[in-house]
Amino acid sequence: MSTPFLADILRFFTAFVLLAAVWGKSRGFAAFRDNLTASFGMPAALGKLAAPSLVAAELLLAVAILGPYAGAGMPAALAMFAGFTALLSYKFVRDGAFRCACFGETERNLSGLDLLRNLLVAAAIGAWCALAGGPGLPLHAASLAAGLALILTVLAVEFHDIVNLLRTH
Amino acid sequence: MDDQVLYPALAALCAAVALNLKLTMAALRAARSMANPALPLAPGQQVPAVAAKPLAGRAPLQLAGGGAAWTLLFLSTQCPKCRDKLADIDLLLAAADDAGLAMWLVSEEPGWRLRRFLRGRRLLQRTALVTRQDYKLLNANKSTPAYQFINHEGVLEAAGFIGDGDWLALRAQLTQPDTDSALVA
Repeated sequence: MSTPFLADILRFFTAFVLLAAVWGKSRGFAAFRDNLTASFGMPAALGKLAAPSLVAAELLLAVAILGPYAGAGMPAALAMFAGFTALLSYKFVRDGAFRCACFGETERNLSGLDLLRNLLVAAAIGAWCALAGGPGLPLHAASLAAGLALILTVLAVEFHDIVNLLRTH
Repeated sequence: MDDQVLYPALAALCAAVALNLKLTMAALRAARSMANPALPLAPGQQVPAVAAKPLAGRAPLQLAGGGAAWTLLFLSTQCPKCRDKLADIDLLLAAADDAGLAMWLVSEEPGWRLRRFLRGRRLLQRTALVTRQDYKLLNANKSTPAYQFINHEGVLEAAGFIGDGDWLALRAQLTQPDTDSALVA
């Protein structure tokens, strides 16, 4: 597999994961906003500001990455994922069970698998930073990269449930 | 077949695989929720403490708490029957306030839709917004137009559809306080 093709899969994957996060948070927006107060101790007034800002930032990054600004968007996404994962890991170790609703999953607590998923996404973005810079792909090849990235995105978003299914069945 | 055709065809196959995965996980979640259905609250049961936000005003509200008797109403903006009940409920609200009965509409619907539904009604001032999860705790079957009478200790006394026997008894008691109608709540 050529390096530009692999890099494009990672680029699409990152953008799709961000879009999935935007979609999940928007669908259960009230639950996500209230959870910032309930689980993260954020004052309600700040939560009201932070929740839409987070969703907007994720959407902006996804659009930048899909558009011509991947060079700036990908490192920003890496910083965002690393920041979120560090914060969630700290809280996970300190408090144990709490809800994240990161991808709209409001009915279960954050798990170690969710943190592992975040690390894998961050690693994928890091790999893109190392691989990128080659020539752009023609449209038909980019469409295949996007298709493959779509499969990876579903696997990443549903990582917790898929691993638990594989474990128990 | 050249690359121009093969690649997009493979991309479409990939999208189908992703959709299949997504739907499989959705089916799994549906099967799980069917295996553990949410049960509606039964009379005699303690009503869970639920935090709500009034549609008009800012101060958060604790439903079915604070040592008062509550009547929780469940109406949907989508059901024509619910709209027919609004005028009657508006009449009862003033009497309920006088009797020290906290009568609130509980909803999980967006505020703008409720404002349109309740335009010009007193009930607008007595509408509490709750999260989808909390709404499910209170009204698992999403029954509308429904009510719940909750006593001072937060125990469910009666529940049913607006217009049934218990509801009419409450209505009679509120509108004609001198009669001996049996008030359930």
